[in-house]
Amino acid sequence: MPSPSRSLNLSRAKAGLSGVVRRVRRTGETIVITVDGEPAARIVPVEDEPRRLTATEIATARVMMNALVRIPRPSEPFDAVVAVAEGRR
Amino acid sequence: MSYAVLDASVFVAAVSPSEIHHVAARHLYDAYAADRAFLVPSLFRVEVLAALARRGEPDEVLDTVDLLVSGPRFHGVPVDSPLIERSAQVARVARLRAYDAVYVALALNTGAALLTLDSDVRATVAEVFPSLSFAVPEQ
Repeated sequence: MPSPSRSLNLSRAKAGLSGVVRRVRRTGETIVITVDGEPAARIVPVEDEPRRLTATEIATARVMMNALVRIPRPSEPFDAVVAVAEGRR
Repeated sequence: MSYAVLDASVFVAAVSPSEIHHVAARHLYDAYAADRAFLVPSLFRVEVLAALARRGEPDEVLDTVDLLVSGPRFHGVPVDSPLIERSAQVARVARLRAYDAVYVALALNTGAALLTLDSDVRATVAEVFPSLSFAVPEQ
């Protein structure tokens, strides 16, 4: 769920830019900059980098990968590049 | 920490024993650090499930794949305005298909390596974007 946006007019944003950026970074909220009362731009937080997986998550992912190759499946050979490309046509 | 963008074709091959690149793709998948998430565009899940479902894979396979790709091993990146902007540039310059361009743009935007089985994409992109690194399966 995105954080709710709050608005700030350009003059106030310009005067307090450092505080605005710190606030966006701290709270994750988006701030809309208005010009003449109309929304004109947004200051949004940079998305987080993916986190490291925990030992349990690593083990779970490994178990699922290994389970997939043991389930009875269609056996005719195919090329995944072609199969995926068909969906991209 | 360095990341890799995983093309849907590598994952489909890695989970499919009858796929002609299965062993190489699985090796490529397993060579990536186990505690890191692959970067994938948000459409990855749909692409993978569509490719497997069209082959008539059983529900048990589709359910397991869906659970796996929805988990923390895969970091879905929204196909939002900045990524679309870069993808449009990539598509124009490298003359790629739309979704190939999205994967390449994601790798360029994040500085990640691109893991793909598609030799045509690799050849085209290597020429146009020499800074992009690839992880390729051993032949």
